[in-house]
Amino acid sequence: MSVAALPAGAPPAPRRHLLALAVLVAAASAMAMGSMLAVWLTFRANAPLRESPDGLRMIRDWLPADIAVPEVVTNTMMITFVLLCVMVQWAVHAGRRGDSRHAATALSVALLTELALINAQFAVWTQMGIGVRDGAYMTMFYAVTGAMLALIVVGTVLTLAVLFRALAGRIGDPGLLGAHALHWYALAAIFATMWFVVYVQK
Amino acid sequence: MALESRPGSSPAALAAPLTTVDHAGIARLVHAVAGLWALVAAVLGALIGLERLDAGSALLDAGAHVQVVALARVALTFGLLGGMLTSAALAAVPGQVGAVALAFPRGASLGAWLWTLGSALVVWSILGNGGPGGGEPAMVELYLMGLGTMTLGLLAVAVVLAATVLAGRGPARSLADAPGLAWSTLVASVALVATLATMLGSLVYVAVDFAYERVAFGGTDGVAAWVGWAMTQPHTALFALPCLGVLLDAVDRATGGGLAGRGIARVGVGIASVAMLEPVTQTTFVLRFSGSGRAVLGSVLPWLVFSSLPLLGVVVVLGVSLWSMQAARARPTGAFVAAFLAVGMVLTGMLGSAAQRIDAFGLAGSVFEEGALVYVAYGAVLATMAMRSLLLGTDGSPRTLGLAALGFLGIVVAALPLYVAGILGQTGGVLAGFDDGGVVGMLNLVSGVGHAIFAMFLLGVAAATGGRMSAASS
Repeated sequence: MSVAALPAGAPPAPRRHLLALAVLVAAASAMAMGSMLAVWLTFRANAPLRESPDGLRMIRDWLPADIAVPEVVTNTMMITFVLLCVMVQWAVHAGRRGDSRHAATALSVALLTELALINAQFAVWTQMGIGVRDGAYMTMFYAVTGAMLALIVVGTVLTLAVLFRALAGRIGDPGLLGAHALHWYALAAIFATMWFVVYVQK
Repeated sequence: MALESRPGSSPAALAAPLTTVDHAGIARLVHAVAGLWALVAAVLGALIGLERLDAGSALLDAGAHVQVVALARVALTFGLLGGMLTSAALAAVPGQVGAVALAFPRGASLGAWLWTLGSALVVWSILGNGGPGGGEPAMVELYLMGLGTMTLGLLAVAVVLAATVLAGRGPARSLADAPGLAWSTLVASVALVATLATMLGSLVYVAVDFAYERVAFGGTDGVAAWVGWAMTQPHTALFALPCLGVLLDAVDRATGGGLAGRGIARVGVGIASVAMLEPVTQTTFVLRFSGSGRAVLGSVLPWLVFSSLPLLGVVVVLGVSLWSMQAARARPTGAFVAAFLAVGMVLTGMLGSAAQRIDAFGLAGSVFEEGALVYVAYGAVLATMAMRSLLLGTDGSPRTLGLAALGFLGIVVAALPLYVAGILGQTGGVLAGFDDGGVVGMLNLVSGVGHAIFAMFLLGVAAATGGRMSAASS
């Protein structure tokens, strides 16, 4: 005896909660750092003039003459972010194919690079050897780089959570890996802006 | 006889309201705290009005004047405005978009509790001689921490509300179907994500500077100088933006779903969100009529965009609402009257803000700005009452109409005298030392009476809500 069955309904629409969350958090992070960099630029533009080290021109007396930014470390941080973006995209690619092993590997490398970023930030602070009380530049330098570090730490916690899911084989929700990747792309863009304003332009 | 535990008396049941992730439960928490803030604002407003009756005598300790003004401002902005319409949105938006819950209910709960904790820290710090101009450094730091916690909490709730409307809609619900409050909440939340994050950035600088060097950001005075923009117009208008959605929903209910020009109204809400540009850029654009023609034109264009365009958006929504009511020949309900008056109050506050930016009027630094703030903040309370009556189904009740009339009276009596006193040149932000000649002193007293009337309105709303809730539970 045949039994009439209702046809299956349309598949549910993909839930994009995490992607929406990632976009909104990225926007908030960008606005927070953007406002800090805008204030930084205002202070720099209003700094008094002094003679450049070569004595040929007048420059803004913002970064004190006796302080050197460790460019090797800061540039390494920028390059590390590029590597990190590749890793998180690798995780997304592996997640789409349902390959939890590759996703976990990619996320593990991403986690290591994030820890390296945190370490590098401490190295910058140590090598510069300035105190937060030493002046307006120093106070603002620690505030802006500290805020960036806080964003990196939040991202690292997110990576750790996603990694645990990947290790448990729960990578079925591609939205999570996509949101994680989007978060790090946004952080990379934010860091690139900060790197240019604070470390390159000085 | 064995003791029997009463239902609801177990530790888990007692903790349930504290740990709830139900959107209605979170909304109740936010609404209760916002209600307390509103009461604090009204009582302080009445006290300030009494204190300003005579600029020479001091009813309050003169050393506490700055703190009283600061607490009143926080109460009106990050307390009342931050909580009122947010609670309405938390209660109504998931249902409006066909979702069973918020997109990230734990995130919303975290945000609500952060905001509540921050509220307590701010009050505690100001009572302990902290806040802007505070004399106790540890309490000033606590104030900054409290303000940061409140901001972070509101930011989290805004993110969750925006995510709910964007990605948490039920099956076959498009964004184009979103009712007024859901749409205006989305627009306001996105704008607030931008402005509150901007404020957090400034707050980090001020807090680090205050904790260490105190050279770059001006110590205690720097608090108001660097984050003061977040507690005045046009930023406050963003908090009040969902009241446009409440009006559209009230019209929809009154006309039986006959809201005409829904798309135009949505565009109006979007245009009103242009108010976010000035807070985000942390710049004030003043319309100057002095100088060369090019300089005047150079000030006219930014003023038109930053100060006038948001007004156009509100006028569009008001126009669509009236047109819809007229076309449907609908009878105005209590909720419609309350929402219409609320939007009118917010519009009056925004008009005042735009007028304050016209150099020739000489209103900058006067109590005119305080009047605009009262219009916007109390207008948001009126809109929240309208939304509650829509949710509870009491929008047609004569009691709602009566409460709306009382609220409207309180707002106008509290704010209008400050507009007049501002035009007469009374300095803002101070409780003594200004010229109280002529009618200025009396105007301040009348404003205080208005705040007292508004406090009565708040108690009336609380009594009406409590009565309905006890009736429902029985």
